[in-house]
Amino acid sequence: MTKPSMSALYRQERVDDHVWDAGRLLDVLHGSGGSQDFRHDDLALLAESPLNAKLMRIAVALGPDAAALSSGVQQLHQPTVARRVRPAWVALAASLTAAALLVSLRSSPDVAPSAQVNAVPGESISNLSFETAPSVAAKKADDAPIFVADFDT
Amino acid sequence: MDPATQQRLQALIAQFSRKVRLQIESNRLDQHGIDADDIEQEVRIRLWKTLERDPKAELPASYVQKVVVSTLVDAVRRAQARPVEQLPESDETWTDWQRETRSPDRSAGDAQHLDRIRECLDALPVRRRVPVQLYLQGYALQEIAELSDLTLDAARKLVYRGLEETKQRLRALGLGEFDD
Repeated sequence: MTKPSMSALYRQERVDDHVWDAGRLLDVLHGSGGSQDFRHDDLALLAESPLNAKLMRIAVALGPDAAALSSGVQQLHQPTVARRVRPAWVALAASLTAAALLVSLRSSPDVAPSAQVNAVPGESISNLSFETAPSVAAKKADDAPIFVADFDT
Repeated sequence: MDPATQQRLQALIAQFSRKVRLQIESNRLDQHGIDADDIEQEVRIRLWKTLERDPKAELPASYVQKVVVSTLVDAVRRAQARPVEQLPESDETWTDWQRETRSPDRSAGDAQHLDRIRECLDALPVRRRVPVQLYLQGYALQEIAELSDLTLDAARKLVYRGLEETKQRLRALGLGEFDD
């Protein structure tokens, strides 16, 4: 014999089951609009009402989907904001880069490369320049053009 | 708002509205005179109107839930205000779920069983009673935990202990065995 189901009995439609205000349901859902005790009292009443329990269950079950929708909408708004902000940032970054480049180009002839510090190898702790390394020097010699043309003269 | 963004927003809202429809169907709200198509459309229109009023609106999840709950409450009220129609019985009713109607004897038996179940539930401490009631209303353990500010483990223990105690009381009243 099939055993009766407590949940099926408990969920049966009741004549005196009236739908609550949306605000009251949302207060139970989000825990706002009253003290914690008040919320728990309403939750206890909701648990006895199949109709309101169903509505709440739908709202709870849709929580992740609502979050996904919200996130999707925010993502669609973000590129618009980025486009508006971009010109100012790009202009600032470009001007800084140009200034840095200009300074480095102007100062390069005056700056003695580390290779020009005639340090005796035995006296220095380290030599971070690779310019004077024999392999680099050899490569430079290899890269030297065999034929050079000058159209200025 | 450019047409491409508008189209994507509409697609997102349509996708969400379809989920609303599925929830209405799976929770059998048609028993209360709710038309899932109507709700799907209404939710879509309300959300879209919000974006039309304020194209920068980000639609927080709590706002989206508010729109759904308001739409459902309005629809239930409209249905309750309409002249009473004979609605089909739920297929979740026990033992005679394949039949269209229930005999008066069966209905009286159901009512008596329900009264006894309520008595047994009322005998439980509140902390245990509410999670059991929510479980009987079809809530998942995770949902019970979130609504009751409990950990999942605590919700599970309260529900199972509460159910066992209720079944024991029903047996002691001579009503035999019950399924969850």
